[in-house]
Amino acid sequence: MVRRKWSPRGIALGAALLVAVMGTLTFYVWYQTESVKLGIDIGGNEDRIRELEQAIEALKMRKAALLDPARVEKIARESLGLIDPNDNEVIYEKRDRSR
Amino acid sequence: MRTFYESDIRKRTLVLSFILAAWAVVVALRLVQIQVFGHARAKMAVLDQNRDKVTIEPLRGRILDRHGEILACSLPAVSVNIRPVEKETPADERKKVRALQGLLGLSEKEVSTILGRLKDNSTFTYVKKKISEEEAAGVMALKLPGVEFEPATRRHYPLRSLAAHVLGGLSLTEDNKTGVEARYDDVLKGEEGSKIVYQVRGGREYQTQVIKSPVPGRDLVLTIDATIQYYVEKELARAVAEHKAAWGVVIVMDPRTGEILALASLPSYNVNDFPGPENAWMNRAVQLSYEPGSTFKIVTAAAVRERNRVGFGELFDCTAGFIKVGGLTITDHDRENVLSFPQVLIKSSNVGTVLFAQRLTIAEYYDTIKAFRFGTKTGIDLPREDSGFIRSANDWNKRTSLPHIAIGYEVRATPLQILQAMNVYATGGLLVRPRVVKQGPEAAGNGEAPARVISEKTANELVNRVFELVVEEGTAKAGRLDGFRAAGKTGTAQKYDRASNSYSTEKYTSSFVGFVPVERPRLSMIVVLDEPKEGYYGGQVCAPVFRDIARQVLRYLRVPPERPLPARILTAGMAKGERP
Repeated sequence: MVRRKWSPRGIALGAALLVAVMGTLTFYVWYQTESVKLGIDIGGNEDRIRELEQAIEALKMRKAALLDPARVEKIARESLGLIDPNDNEVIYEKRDRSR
Repeated sequence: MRTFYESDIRKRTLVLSFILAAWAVVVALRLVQIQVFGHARAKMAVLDQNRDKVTIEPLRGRILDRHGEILACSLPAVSVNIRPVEKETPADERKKVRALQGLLGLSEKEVSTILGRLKDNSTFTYVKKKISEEEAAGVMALKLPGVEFEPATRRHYPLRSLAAHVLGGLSLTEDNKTGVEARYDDVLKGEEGSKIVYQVRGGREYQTQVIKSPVPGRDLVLTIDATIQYYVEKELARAVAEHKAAWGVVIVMDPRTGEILALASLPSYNVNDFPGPENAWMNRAVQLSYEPGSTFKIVTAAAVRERNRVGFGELFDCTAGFIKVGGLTITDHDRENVLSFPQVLIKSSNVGTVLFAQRLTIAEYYDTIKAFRFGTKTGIDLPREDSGFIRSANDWNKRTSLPHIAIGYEVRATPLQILQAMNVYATGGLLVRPRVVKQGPEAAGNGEAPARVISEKTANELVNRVFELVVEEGTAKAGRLDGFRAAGKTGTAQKYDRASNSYSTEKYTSSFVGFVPVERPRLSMIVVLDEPKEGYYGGQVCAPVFRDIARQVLRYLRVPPERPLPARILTAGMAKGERP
């Protein structure tokens, strides 16, 4: 029986092939993992955006409630002691008719 | 050579092998039947057990005032429901529901309903719909078994009762709505989405797949100005309380565009608590018609002047204080002298009005009434508008109807219809369709040209020679505004008493309709008070409300006075030793 002798070139080629296959597989697994991680991050950020948008809406509504004319008048009259000006105490800006 | 014993074992082994092989084949065939031929059905059964198709509620569009202030918006909320839990005793259920009662403020009736449904093993019972996320967090913290949560949205009205009858409202289940919430529901509601939720045993979600994203509703911009609306509601509430009126209405409009700047109807309600008390539901500005009384004389005046049946210098003898037409006796509230045509209207003499109205034929007068669109809906973009009522000319009593209608009886109109008629004078003879939505293709009457009702000459003559003087020196003197020329007409209509089949001498509907400034009208307004107790003349109870609102609104709109303000005498004290 003749024992087959491996050439260094063949060994190098095989090793390179093995490395390429392993590399490709590793890259594929890394790529998949990163994609999933990114997907999770994007999902999390989208949830955060939605939460913030809802918070903005809630704050806008709160602002509208705080600007309730009845509330503003009550504060102006009772807390700040403001009163309505008389008709002759109001100065109206003259409108520029040339515009 | 095999022994008998060896031969028997071999035989038995063969039989056993055959049986086992046959059994394996049967099992294999059954597996093929289940997994290959029954694959689709089995898959569906599995998915049905752990997935659920859920509707995603769209976010309802906001309602904004003309300056973008939020009048209504939807925010995320949570609905809480409950299901029976295995091996839970009724005592445990009661304890659980009582815990929810404390957090969610459930009534005893609601608690007993929930306990009843749990006792009946109902698989799903709402505990409370659309609670805030803070309340939901409190319930979640209790970790009560069988208590589940469902995402939802809830309508909020940050200004509570402001513009209640324009906004209308929305019930929690959204099946009951009115106002612009109902009229523009298609625009506001958006489109539902759907998703598939995959759950593990026990109901915990592990994957969500959106099939159709929800389309949020569009925002609606109203013509209402929240500040003007506030002035109007404040003054109307004051007047209703002062005169102990049954109800009151004020509408403020931009007469040139038909845009409603404010619309208030009392009694009112907090829109967050929609539908609120029953007597407050009706938007009396558009859903209730009444006999307008003398404010209807603006139509009678137009009819005679447009046909030149009466001159401004003509005199009418009103000294008797009454006039008999057919079987009908029409009286004046005060005995008048001989009055000119303008004076008849300035003093709101019924006798004088009947005298000049009789120069019209029924057909002519009816044509003018229809040109002002009485008996027809104005087309405002609010639901359940009343069309008012005017009998067909053929059905009029040939002798009594014309004089009676000429002074505003036998005809019913909504406050909005009377205001629309007064706008004809403010616009120089044009009828503009009123509306409450400002922007977008959905806005009512977009691009619609206003119809001409009377000539510009007739309109201007009547305004300058009659309706301005009604405010300056006539029945609406109390509505006079310093610095501005206003025009208008008062009305004090006796209410018809069905019980006695006659007009009451104690119950009145008082009103004032007008616009300001006369030269370039910026706002027109109607004020109506029903059954006022302290004084009942329109000029006495409604004209001052017009004045007070108009003063604030004109200042808010920065409209400078068109004539000098009356000089005020200023007095100053001086302390001893002070120099001037």
